[in-house]
Amino acid sequence: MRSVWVIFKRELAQYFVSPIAYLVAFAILLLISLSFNSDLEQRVLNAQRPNGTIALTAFAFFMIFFAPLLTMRLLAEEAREGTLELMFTLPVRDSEIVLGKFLGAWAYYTVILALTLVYPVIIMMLTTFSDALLHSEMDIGPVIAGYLGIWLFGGATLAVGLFFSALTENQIIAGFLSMATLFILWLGDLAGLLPSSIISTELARALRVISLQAHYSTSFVIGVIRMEDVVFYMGIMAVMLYATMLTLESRRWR
Amino acid sequence: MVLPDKLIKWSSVAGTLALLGALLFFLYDGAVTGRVFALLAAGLIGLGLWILFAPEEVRALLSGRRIAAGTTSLILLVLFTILVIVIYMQIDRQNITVDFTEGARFSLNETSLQAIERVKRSGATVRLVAFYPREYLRERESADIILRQYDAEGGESIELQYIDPAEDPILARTYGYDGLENKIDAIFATFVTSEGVPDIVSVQYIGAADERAISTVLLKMLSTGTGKFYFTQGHNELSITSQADTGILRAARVLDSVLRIQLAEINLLTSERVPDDATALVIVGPSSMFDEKEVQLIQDYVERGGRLVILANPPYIDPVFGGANDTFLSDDPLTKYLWDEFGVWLREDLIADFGSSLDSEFNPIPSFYSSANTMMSDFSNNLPIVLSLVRSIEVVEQPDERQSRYLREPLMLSSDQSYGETRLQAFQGGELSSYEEDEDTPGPLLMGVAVRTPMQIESPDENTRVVIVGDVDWVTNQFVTNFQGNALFWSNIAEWITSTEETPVFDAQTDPGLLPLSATQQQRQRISLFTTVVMPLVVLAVGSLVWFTRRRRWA
Repeated sequence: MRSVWVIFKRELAQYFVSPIAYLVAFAILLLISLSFNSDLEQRVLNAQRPNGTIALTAFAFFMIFFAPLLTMRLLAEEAREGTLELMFTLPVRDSEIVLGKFLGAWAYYTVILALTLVYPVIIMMLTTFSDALLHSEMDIGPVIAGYLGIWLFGGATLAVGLFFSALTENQIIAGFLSMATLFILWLGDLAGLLPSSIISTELARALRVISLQAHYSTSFVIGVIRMEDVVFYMGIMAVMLYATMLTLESRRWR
Repeated sequence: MVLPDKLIKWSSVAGTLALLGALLFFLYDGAVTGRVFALLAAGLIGLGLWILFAPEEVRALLSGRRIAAGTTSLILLVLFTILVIVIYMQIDRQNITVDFTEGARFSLNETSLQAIERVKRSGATVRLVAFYPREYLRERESADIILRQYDAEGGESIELQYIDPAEDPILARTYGYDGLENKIDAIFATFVTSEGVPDIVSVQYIGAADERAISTVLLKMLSTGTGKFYFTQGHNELSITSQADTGILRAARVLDSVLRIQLAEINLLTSERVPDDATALVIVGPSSMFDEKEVQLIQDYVERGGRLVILANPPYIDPVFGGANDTFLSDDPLTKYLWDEFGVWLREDLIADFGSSLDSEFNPIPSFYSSANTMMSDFSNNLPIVLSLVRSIEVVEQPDERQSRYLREPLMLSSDQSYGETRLQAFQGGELSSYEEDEDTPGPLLMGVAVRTPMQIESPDENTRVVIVGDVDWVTNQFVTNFQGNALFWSNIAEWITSTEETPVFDAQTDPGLLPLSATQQQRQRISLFTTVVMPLVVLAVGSLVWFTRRRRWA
């Protein structure tokens, strides 16, 4: 575990000195704030109830594109520069390398996610500290469940990104492949909309079961935590990290 | 036979590709279609040729270090994935859910749990059938959050079934799913027979996956089709088997065939008690008094949670029934009991309604149908209840302690141009009626009343219910056949008398009623400035600072 901790710290520190990580954080905050302010305007004008999870719905979608940017370099860069071979010579197991790098990326993701807490806090301030005699109240439950869900969701997207980073030495290819995969996993939620001449109902249902969005949009975001959704994201992480570890291991016998 | 090396090599490649194609088409078609079979056969032939003509090449590949390690990795990954899938499926079946919402909006209310408990106690099996076309898989998933809880809490008593109407259109039509108005959120409930097939006659439409709607339908289903009405005999009551105009065979058939209520007759004079399986005791048009012993049996039955339907003609005068009616007079033990217990008095009068649109003032059509009771919600001037020779009803204004245990709900009133004629024996002798201020009762007059105890969902079987109508003619074969409103009124009485409560009471927290969000223009501008400009720019500035610092250090 010591090796995991060392690699984790190194990777996390790497994010904080990498311009691309700041650019990703900048882009995420900018895009989410546009979505948030647009929703806020609509809610006020249409006299709708406050919703503390609006930023999260947008965040989940943007992660399809930003998770690959955060993970594409993790192993591909090491492989291209030859430092991965050097790591193989150290007394560190492949699983520790994978786990350390993944946890580093997930921790950085958590920091960005924490920045978005400002949006529910704004909604809470508008409701709780309102001067009006009768004022609305924000239900904090969906916010708690939503953040837990989006945190697990992010972990799953990062695990997919890390796997593709292990597959190739080219960061661009790794990023492109993981983005395409995540996009398909995201769209799986809408598989039922395709005509039955293109996709059978059974396949549509199967695609929906493995869809990243399906396990988030109908449960976490409304304040309900279903254990199978938690297991789904944990399972995606476990399988992808295991596949990443086996891919790394294959470098020893290829 | 020796094949060229090149052909052998290509047969292995072609065989592998054909197998992959077969897998893809299998996923695409969802079954082993002709093309899947053809590609599978081609793949096996291609690989078979390779194995047959280049066995050493196959052996070398399989025993090679790379293939051995690769295969092991692949098998391990597949096994690990299967393990994860199995865990996921097991957890999915456990239905472990935590509801973080305020007031637990997505968890079943105590009222619903009680309704489910009643389903379990009844021994019946209810199937919730949800129709969701494949385009609405997401909506189905949302509905599942509530529906699965009924399934889990109900155990073997509540089943849940999802049906794609496009895949089974005949079944969808059987349930009444039209695919147009209720394209989504089309949930039905039905009893399931002991053979495991749905009892289509019992199908109830629920609509959306709304907890209140589902629990209401469950309670309604439990209270219909399970009743048994006992019709009193021995006082020249109307016969449930008579096809004559004055019989009530048609009304009885409504109970029997449509509402599936069992019918029986009982003579209280010769009975020890009203049977325990009686859902209601029905007294239709007696023309002689019930004695003390009979009234005591009725009282005992009511105290056990029994329910009563009493349809009474005015005394003396109704020529259809021979004019020898002396029931519900002031010295009648049953009249006294109805007053002492329920605070309802059947007056000794005859309603003359000059506002009636029919040919006689003695055939009144109610001018007011109360909305206080769901029994009356269907009626209006376009769908009236037609009565003939009606006595008015009085309800207590200052109930005593005993009478206070019940709620009295007026059902229908005559018009303000009516009055209650009290000189009935004179009327019987052929004298014309006219309003006498000192003797007659001015209208509008009450013609029907419902009495019930306040709702107790924990013990619904103990909720006493009584319906009293001051006329009998309206339910006879002649009237029920000719007037749709009369048949509906009879059906509504039966449904109300057998049911517990139409709308379960839910905790207030189920509907938190949050107020809309409010923010001034200035507040919104500040929020927009902070979130869209300040926050992202701060992150960008920190990033730039780090980048320049590192660049200078490298330089």
